[in-house]
Amino acid sequence: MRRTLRTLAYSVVLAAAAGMALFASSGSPTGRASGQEAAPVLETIKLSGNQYGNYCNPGVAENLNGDRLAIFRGPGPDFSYRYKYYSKKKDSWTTEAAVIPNPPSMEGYFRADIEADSTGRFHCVWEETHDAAVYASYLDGSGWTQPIRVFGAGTHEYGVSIGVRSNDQVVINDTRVLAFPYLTKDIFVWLKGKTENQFNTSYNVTADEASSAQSTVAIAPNDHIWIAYKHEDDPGPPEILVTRLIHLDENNRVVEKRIVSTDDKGTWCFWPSIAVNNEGKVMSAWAQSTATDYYSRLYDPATGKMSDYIRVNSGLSMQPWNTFFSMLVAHGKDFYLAVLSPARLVFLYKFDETKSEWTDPVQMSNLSCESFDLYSGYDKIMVAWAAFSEPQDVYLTTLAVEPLLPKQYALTVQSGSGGTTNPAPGTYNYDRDSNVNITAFPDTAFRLKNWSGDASGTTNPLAVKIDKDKTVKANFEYILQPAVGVATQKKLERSFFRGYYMNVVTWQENPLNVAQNVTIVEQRLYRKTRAADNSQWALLASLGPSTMTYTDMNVGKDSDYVYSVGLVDDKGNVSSYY
Amino acid sequence: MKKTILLSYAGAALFVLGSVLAFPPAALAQDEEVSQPKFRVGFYWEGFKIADKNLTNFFGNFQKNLPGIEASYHIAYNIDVWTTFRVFTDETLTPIDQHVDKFRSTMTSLGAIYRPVRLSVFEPFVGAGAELYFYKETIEGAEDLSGTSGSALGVHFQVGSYIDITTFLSAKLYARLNSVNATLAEATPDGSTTLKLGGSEFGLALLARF
Repeated sequence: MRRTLRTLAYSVVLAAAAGMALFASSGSPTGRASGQEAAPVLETIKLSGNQYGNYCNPGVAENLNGDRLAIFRGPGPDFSYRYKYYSKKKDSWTTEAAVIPNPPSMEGYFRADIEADSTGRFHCVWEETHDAAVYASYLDGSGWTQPIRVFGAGTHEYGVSIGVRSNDQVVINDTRVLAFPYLTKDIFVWLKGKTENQFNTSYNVTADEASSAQSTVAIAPNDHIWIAYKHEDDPGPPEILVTRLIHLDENNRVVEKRIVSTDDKGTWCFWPSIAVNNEGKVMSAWAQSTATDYYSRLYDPATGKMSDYIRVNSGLSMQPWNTFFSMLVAHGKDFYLAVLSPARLVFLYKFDETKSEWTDPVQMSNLSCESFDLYSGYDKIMVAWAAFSEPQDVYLTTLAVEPLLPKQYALTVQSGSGGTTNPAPGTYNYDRDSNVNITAFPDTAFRLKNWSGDASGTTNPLAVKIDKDKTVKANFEYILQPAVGVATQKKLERSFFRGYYMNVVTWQENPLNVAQNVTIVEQRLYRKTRAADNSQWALLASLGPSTMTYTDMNVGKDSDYVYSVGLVDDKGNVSSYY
Repeated sequence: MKKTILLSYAGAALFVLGSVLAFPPAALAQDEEVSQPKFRVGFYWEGFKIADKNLTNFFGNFQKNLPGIEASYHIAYNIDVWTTFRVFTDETLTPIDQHVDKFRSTMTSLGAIYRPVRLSVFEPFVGAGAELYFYKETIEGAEDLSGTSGSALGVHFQVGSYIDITTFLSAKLYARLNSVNATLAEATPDGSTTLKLGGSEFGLALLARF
């Protein structure tokens, strides 16, 4: 499952909090590193309608069908969220429309996140500033669902993110204010099963901490939940604001907590973001005020090893207060980091694990940016961004990257007539590089002829390596059956000279042969001595196809024979006869 | 039964003796003897009544008509060496499972014929000789049944007359009695250990003479 990390550039909020509204314009990255051979394939389209301007807070996601959903806050007077939908099949975007046709008090949206599930539905979550609550809805072929209030009004603080597990359980992560004035906050996880209509389950994952906020969530390949958040301890200047990780297993139990950034006094970390790659490695990144740059660390849960600090060298300066925001995304094994430069331009870095460096910065916005969202699509890294200056419009810039290897491939199992398979015929999705055993179960009187499609041979069960979409068919063939109901009656007969015994053998057609419309061309009558264990079947007579009785003459008074009738069909198949 | 056959044999012998006495060889002119043909070759159609009652009861036919071939060679004054071959067959169905049961007897005769006199176109004769028969019973599907074949030797007596039609063609009427008994190693289901393959034959032959 691809994981999107997204947030907004809360520059205005931070600036207000700091009593400043100054945006530095120096020290921006210089673009792509020298020596780069091929120019990045960039494409930028304008999403918003531009009839009003004043769009902001974009979000974007792509589902497994390649369709994309972009949402962004519209202009006043209601500031409702707008959306545009890209159909890959039609290769076109819809016109801009309101997210919720009849929103219940939806003015003043503040932040949203989107993730797609395995069915292609887009699950959205957003903050609503009017009542400081979080709502969720999803978009599918039937349109938007009526939004659900995840939790109550007036208790939510900035920052909400969403993830979807492989079973399509929706995971919402946010910060809830437990005591005013905003000093006691905790990170919550809200869960809604695939068939549930409400977020019925929630966990306070930082109840044991003084205060926590600014969290983002990522779902690992094993469906574990990883949350990066800002831990706030010992309030009062100089505060300690450090980045921490929480790791929840598939049963939502806290496995571990990790301190990522330094907890020295006066070290302020902001807006931690998180991503988990397909190897389960966890990357977290944040803006660190005291060191005036973006930093990250790579954590491998398998080894418990945390890398050293990895500085981005973005040229960011935080003295005086600057706009800063970063966002992580995993694309297969790779990590990408989008940061806001001092000139408010969005730059995208790729992580080089061998060098433990963020490299190859690509400028993703050509205007100063108010806010952005980052998403990893199938073969694109997408940045939806809003222009900082009037008219504020929303754009989508995509960078072509190596296509993702899907986490799963489709295995289509087919069965010819005469048997079935386990798993039953149908199409299934299996994890890439997994091995699936397919067992063929022939019906009575059938046998596995061979496997076809992306398999061959007659091995049963068949081990299929899931390294691409595959179709495997089990072909069965009918086993010609011998005649049934073979009965023997011994009779005493005489000729002129002799009296002698004979066995009158009778039998019937095999109904299985009849059902298969088998054309019998020959019947072979075999005989053996009943009592003798080592007696071999001996061919007694070859008969025509319609004969159903045979008299075995001169068998002797004390002889005890058993008989069997093997068959030969018009294709040359020969049945067994015992 | 034996008595009947013995009486038949005695009758045949008396007939031959009577014929010889009534028509002594001296009655025939020497020139006629010179003009007699050497060979008589032809075929016949006869009724054959086999003597074994068990056999006729089993196969159900009291009498069978059968063709045959014969030849004779004049070797001495009014005496010919004579031989014939015919095949007697009969068939029925086995009583239980109704399989075809065939009986076959190949009958070969070798004997002498004495023609004592010629009366106009008639040339009566008497004869006697040996019989060699081979018999076999075949049941469909049980060809390997044991004790169903064999051979037997016997004797025959016959009387009849040639009827000269042309210089080269003559007919022949005859009656023949055969006594050919086979001794069986194992009794038949009827309890008999003797198979009487002989019997009486009455037939008409058409012969070329030269």
